[in-house]
Amino acid sequence: MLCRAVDRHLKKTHNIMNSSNEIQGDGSFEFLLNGRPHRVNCGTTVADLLKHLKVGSAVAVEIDGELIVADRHAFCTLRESNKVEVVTLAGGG
Amino acid sequence: MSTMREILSESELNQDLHTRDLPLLRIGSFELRSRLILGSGRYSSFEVMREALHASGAECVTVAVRREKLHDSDGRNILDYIDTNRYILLPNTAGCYDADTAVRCARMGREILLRLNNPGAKWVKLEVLGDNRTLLPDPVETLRATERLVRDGFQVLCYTSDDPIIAKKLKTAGAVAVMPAGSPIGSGLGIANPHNLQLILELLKNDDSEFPVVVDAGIGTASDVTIAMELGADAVLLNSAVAKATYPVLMAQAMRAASESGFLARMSQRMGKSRYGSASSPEHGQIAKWLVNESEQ
Repeated sequence: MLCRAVDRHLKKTHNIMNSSNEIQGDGSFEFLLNGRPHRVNCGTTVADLLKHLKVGSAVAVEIDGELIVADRHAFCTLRESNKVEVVTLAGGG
Repeated sequence: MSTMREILSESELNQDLHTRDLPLLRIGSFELRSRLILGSGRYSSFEVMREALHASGAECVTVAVRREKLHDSDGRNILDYIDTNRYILLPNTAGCYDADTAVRCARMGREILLRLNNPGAKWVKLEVLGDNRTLLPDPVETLRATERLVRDGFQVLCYTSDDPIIAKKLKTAGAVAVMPAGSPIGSGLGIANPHNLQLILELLKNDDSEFPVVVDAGIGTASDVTIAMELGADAVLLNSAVAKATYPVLMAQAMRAASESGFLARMSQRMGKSRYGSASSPEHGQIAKWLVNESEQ
């Protein structure tokens, strides 16, 4: 138990991502955001995530391959093991 | 193919037409005055891109769908440099190698454009590649994606190779425009196979003269655009030829002139070709006969 707490403390202090996507003792969990691990608290919605990321409105969000339209952002809660894509427009031909 | 007389009246064909008077380009539910569609990638800066877009006279600009750079400290977004009230955006599925990914990409592009309230939410430039070296399209996956996107309500502008048969199949599948490559994307090789492009134009416009065929990819310089338009293309879509020119804004201006020039030349119905010369000046009343072959004297 002590080891787990120390491990958690170290990871938090040194901003090290936990490779496990299980819900941690502090109520947070990890999921894949644009291919990289990202940690949020339980209950985080897509709208919360976008606000936290400070991205503008010109984005689209997909969870596990399914498009989440803007109207659903506030109601769609993230879960551990989710693969989330947040995309925007870029230059292209 | 339709003759210009079906589009313009005889008197209009004999006028000095201003660009604004030229027939509109119709693709799906869209009407465009410019026959040039410009890409927004690979410019040295967003500022140069903005100036090039302006100089090109294009009303439609292609954009890609990419992961948000969540940790970019720069904070600049391409949309700060494209007036979405002025330009119709055409989201592409560039970089997709299978139908499933292309459909996902198209849906995400539509979602973004809906949020921007841009009319481009209705359409998509479908691009499904088959090989990352040549960037040539995968015809099977392109056809599969076209069928799915059409069912999903998209107006699909299909990037394809210059193969007439697959072009026909894409049209039959419900694409609102077929966009054969002049040559591989970003190659600058121009119209590598004009004969195939002519076959595509014949095949797709045979029973539907208004069906839009847009030459997409491979353009290197202004004359490539003019040739495509003279051959009968309805428009040209290009990016690298402008973005990679030493002076992109000047090249954008050249492309604008080239698309108008090629279109006007096609409308004019060019003269026939001859193996021999034919003097423009009167043959009678010459002061000397010394250039005439001796045998004719």
